Amino acid sequence: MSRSAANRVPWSALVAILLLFGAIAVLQSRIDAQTRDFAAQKQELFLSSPTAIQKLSLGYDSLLGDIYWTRVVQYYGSRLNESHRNFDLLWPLLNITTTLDPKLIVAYRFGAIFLSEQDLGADRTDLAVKLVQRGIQANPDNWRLDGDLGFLYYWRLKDYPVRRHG
Amino acid sequence: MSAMPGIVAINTFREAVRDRVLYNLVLFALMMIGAAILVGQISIGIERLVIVNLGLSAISIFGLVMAIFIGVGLVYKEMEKRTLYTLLAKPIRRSEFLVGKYGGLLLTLVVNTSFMALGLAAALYYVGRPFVHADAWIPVAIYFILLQLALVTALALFFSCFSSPMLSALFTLGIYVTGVFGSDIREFGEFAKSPPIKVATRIVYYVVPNFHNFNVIGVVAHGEAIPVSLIWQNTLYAVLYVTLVLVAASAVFARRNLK
Repeated sequence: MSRSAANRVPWSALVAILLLFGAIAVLQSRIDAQTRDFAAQKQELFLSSPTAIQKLSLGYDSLLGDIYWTRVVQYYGSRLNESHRNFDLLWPLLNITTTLDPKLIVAYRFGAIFLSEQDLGADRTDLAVKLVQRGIQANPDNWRLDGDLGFLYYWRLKDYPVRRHG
Repeated sequence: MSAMPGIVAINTFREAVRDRVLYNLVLFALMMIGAAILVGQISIGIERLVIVNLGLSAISIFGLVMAIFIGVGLVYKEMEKRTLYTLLAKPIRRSEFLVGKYGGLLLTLVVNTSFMALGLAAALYYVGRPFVHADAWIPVAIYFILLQLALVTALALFFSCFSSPMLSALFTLGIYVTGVFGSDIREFGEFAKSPPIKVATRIVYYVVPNFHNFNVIGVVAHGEAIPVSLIWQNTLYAVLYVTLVLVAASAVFARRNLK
């Protein structure tokens, strides 16, 4: 093989790689278009036991907690655009997140809002109360969680005496 | 002890660098940059937390992969290439050779981890928050990861003395996973009604290295302090266990027929 021929080989390979990547991208977008509805309906939790997930994390539970919290935010945000909102997975996801990382305050605080909101959330104040109570148990020094619990009892449940004596 | 282990260690380190082992740092850097930019866009309130958690977990996982997959080939490769015979013809004891090999890989891991620690510090700086007092515990978590890697390297080297790399990797990984689940295994024993099972699980708990001791990533990520007593206890635990494994490896390697 001459020197010029040897130099041409990498260029043709590079062009072939780029073309193949382009073809794969086009094909993938067609597959996405076909399976979009199917994927949206099929969103589910393959592992629903927080303890099992914690054991399987092999000690990296704190990082996994962050990933699950990001999934909560994405799940809540994606459901807001739908006409028939369904937040069935919100509580299981928050349950897993706070089991993996019981110190993740942001998950209790925002999670309670996502759960308790009537129009823009799951309308499950009972679960929001449960979540915040769990947060207080794991983080007794965090006064903000007590404030959040008071908010839930006062504004959502209209249960004034409980919060006064709570 | 002579200067021989030091010479073997330096050459093992050079060999690792020549094998482009430190290229994993590029992947680590890309991951940290990606996380620093992306997490703020797709999540709420956990930018710094993710950087610390991801950074420390990546340091631990990359280190583990290196310790296991390089460690299991340390002795086997020398035998396979027959370079061990040339080496042992020189005035060096087999135990010194092993200690040197161990030291070389440990040096590689320390250098690798130090660069990743710098990358983590840079990513934390990038997410726009000045360093606070609580960040002082992050180096402690990195030190604990290094202790864990020192233990895993010793185990990999031990298996490498009498087994093939594939089997050695499986054995080391198996012991690592058992060590992570150490406290669970002991708990299973407590629940069991049979006294022999209780005794067996207790023995497993104390014999298998307890890697759970070294995991403080979650604690440090939330800015909580690590007790000073835990630092010296973990250091002592790692030193004792590594010494034990290296003594066992030397005993096995000394009896190994190399003909």
